[in-house]
Amino acid sequence: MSAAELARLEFALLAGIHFLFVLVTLGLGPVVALFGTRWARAERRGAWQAGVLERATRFWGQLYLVNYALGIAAGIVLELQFGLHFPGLLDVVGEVFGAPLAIETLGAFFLESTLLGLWVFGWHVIPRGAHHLIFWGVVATGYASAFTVMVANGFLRNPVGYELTGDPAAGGVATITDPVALVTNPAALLSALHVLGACLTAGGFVLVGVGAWHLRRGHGPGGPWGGRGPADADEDLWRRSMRTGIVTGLIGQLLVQGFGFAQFSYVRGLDSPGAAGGDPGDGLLDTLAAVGLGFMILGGEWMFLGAITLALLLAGGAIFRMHRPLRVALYWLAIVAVPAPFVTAILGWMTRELSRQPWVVAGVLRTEDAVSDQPAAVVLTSLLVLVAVMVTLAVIDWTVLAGLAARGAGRLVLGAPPAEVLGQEPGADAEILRFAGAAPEEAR
Amino acid sequence: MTAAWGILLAVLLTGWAVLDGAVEGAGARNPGVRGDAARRVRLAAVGPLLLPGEVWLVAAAGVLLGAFPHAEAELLHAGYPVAIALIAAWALRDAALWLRSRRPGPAWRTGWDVVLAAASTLLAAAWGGLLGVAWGSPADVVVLAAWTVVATRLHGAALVARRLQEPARPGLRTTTALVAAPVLVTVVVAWPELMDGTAAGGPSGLLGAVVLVLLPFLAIVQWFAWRLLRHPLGPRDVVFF
Repeated sequence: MSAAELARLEFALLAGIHFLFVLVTLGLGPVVALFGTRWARAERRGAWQAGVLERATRFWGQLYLVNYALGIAAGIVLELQFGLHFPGLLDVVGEVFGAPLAIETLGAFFLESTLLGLWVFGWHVIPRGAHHLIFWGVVATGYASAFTVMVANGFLRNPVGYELTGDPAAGGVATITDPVALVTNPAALLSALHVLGACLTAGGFVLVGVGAWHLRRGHGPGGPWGGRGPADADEDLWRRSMRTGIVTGLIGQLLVQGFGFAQFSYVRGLDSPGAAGGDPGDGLLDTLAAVGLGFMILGGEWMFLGAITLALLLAGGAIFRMHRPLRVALYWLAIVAVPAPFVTAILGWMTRELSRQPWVVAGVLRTEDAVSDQPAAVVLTSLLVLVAVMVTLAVIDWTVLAGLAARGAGRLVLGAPPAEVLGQEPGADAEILRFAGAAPEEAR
Repeated sequence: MTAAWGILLAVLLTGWAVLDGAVEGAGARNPGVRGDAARRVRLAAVGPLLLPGEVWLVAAAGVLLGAFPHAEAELLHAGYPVAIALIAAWALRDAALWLRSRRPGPAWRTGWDVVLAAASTLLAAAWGGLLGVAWGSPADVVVLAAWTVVATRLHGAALVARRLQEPARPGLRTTTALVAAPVLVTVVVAWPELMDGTAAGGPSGLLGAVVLVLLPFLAIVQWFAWRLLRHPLGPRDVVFF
């Protein structure tokens, strides 16, 4: 393989890994925020639901956090790929493509991460009324961050709002002439809403899958499950999780389908529409993109049917109460279906990126003219090092996440008083003294 | 205008070196602490700095990308292996911090502590090395890498000591100067190359306006994040790592 092909493969693999984390971050974010707000309200009113809503916030918040940690790392590895391997992209369209990315890193992501740090580490300091609002800030800036990335990516697919002075091959550069066109680019706007739907779908599948994993047990400390109302706090938590997941997944599916097909409106008009444009494919990449598109649509239709079925089964709590063997079979189906939205999202992303080739900026700059002049052996080394590190860390992270999800809401670390967390460590007595004294009010 | 972008870049890089340097230092020294509970307490002392700290380097990379694309391409071309080491170490350091306490068991914990110490040291060394690349000679790379490794270790120890109310020498002010100095000197040394490394017509004015609007928000949120570190470690803190 040439250095250019290796650089592209490295970017594709690292972006794919990053995307898998982003799906969960953006899909679970609103759910954690919603549970947090309902907890704060219930606590203020002294309602009995405060306990289960607190556990829901902390359980899903902890999964959100352990997923987010690796999402950042994968994103950082990705951000530097442009400078390392595609300096030509920065040379020619640096101003147009770099501006949204600069706003992403300096504004949206900067705020997102700082606010998340405040939410986690200010748990016992910040009053509950403000604390739950901070997480809405995390969600809003996270979505803004994703949108700015889509503006940058949309420009590559459908370059608008710019002016090219001179030939790109001979030192010509692009400058922004119409920032509004750049932001309202259908390749940014429609695609961002499509991706938002994919994220909510993924979040919904995770909520439903984890809820199903616990509900299939069928009994808890309060007796057998499956009655009119929840038998105990555990069943209450997993029923709420599943209900929220079904609603989230259904909203996600409506967005995914609507804005997915809406994208054909502009893709057909592109100079190089690729597989989605109905042109005869040229070469292996277009064929691959077409395969990705076909299977993505197939997967999407199945998930849409599944989401509608589950939503109907919410009527009268049927999904929690119907004939037990049937119920358990359905739960198992929900558990094994968790990877589906992730596989489908990767296929969709593959379609989008491959359809653009051989261009890095459609009609403006060819990928082969944008890559750095590093020797192939050097690029191969970086590919092996970074992809091996990221794949290993991703697999370990998913294993830990699966373990935390299966363990349930018994011993949550997020939001626990420090003495309680350290109390689970052997030989912690001397250290716990440091945290003695009045327990924080929130931790009662 | 370009100079203002250069100053913003210098502030972001220095901020990262100071904030994340403390996390690197605490991580690098972690295996030397006896007992798992004591290790978790020391990580909890710097814990609130991780998320609000590492975003400074991400933001600096964004400024390079948006305002100095040629300087970034040139630096990463010259310092390719160092940059690869930096991002690999960064990913490993983050994973080790977040994952080490997610499971019980000495093998899991000690394993991640070794990764944490190695990755924190490599991250500091690669950072110093990348500064050295901007200076120019291989000797600069080695000297600055060694400097940042030592400086971050002292810096991490100083911050942990302050939050645990233990005596520390040198103090936090001195160690802050030690980690910040190489960054500031490098910005001065590399200033001409940086100013030549902008986009063709200079950095975009529109981007500058957006950043100017954003800056007060960033400052306010960061200030709240730092306030969490003001008091000695106690019952209102969070042990997550």
